Amino acid sequence: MRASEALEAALDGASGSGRIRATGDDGTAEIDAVAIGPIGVRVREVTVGRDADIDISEEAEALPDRLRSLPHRVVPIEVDPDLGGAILRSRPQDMRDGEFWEVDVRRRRTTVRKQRVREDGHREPAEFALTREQLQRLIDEAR
Amino acid sequence: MLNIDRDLGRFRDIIKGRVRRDLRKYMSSGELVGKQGNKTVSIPLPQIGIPRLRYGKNQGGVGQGEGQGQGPGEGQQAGDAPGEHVLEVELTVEELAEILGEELELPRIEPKGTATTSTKRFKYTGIRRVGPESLRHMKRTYKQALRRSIAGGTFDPRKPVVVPIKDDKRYRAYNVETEPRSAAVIVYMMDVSGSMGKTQKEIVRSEAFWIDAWLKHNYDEIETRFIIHDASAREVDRDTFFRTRESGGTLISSAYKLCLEILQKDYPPSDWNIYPFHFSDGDNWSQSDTRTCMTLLREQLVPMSNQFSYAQVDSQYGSGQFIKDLTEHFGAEDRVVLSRVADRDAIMESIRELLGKGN
Repeated sequence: MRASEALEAALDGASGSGRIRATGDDGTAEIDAVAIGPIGVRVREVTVGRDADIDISEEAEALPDRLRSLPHRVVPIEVDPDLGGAILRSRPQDMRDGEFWEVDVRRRRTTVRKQRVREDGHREPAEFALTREQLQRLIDEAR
Repeated sequence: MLNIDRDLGRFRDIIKGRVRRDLRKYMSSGELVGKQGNKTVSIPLPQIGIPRLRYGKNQGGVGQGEGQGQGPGEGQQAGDAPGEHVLEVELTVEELAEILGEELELPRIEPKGTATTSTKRFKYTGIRRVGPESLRHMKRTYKQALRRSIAGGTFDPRKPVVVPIKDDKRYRAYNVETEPRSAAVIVYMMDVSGSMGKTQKEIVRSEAFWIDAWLKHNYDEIETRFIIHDASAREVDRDTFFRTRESGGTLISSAYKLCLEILQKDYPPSDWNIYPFHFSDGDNWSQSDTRTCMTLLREQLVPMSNQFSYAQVDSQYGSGQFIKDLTEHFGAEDRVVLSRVADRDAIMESIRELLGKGN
């Protein structure tokens, strides 16, 4: 069973909010849930975990084409194999109301989150809603 | 005073008035920055018309107004009306700094008490009996000749002819004087990681220009060093400083470490007034690096500086966390000045914040 399917199964018996983590044959999947419903979830972030290190540069290059279920295309902003990570964000022209998607890639995990630029210019995390199907697809794409 | 001097003085006052009025525009557009020479800055003043004498019959007079049909004509023909005159005047950086100081009401900087170095200057204030003819002091030579002729009884007041002989000759000689001078070093540090875009760099460039101008106005001698950093830091020249863009992550501590290295090697705090300026979008890679930065600042960089300035330039992705961390750790520290620059229009306010303490 893939981690995305394992998480889907874990959500069936869950309610309320909090971190939910599931392990599959291909690694782990975790969400920071704000609300869990029968059709969808509202989350702060989605994280996939891996058992082995990945090549950061290759991953940063490949992810924009792979992450199709995000409403915005993300592009690499900072890629640093030496530091062991990369940050990808929505293109500025796609941003609406100061909201953008951020993908934080590390050697053994990838986290997808949404950020909002407040009127005073400061940034804050934004929650986002996904159907169960979208969530499953996002986890598979981010892997 | 000649009329022309008075007119020129009035003209310069008008120009200064115009520059002062449009200062915010100049600061945000970066127009001046690209027009600086060694000591002067060319300022375009489109509003000032140049009076001109016209020869010919005095018919109809000369008028001034908006005019019609400005700009180029259509098709192959040139426009039939004059375009807008853009007069470029030159102001010295010193004059600009004065305008900046008056407009932003910046306090004069008091150099640190002991933070002066001394310089040796050769001044021709002495007199010697020997020397090259080019340095002969005529007045002293004739005075000596007069003294000799009076003492020798050869001086005739009715026929006061004094002819100096070899022994009368006096020559100017230099003395070495040690003068105190106030010197300052500015260390500019800039985050050039992938998240710092072109606009952010232009904002930094404008700010650096005005900071330079103001500090030069306050110190006899200014040295400037440039550091760029992403995950690692290196020292570069001015041109590279404003043009480089890297794609790596951000480790701010790398810049602070290099800055300390430079200061410890070349600028002992007892001799120099030290001004580090750091520009970033505030997205440091990790909280552990931020902690390292706070330690470096608290224990070394801030104590040796007159003022440590940090300006956080917002990007399309908003403002990073670093300024909040600095506020938390150094909010009450007088020598740490923080400023957030949301966009170009905020440059003027940011300069006021950075230079307004008079440290």
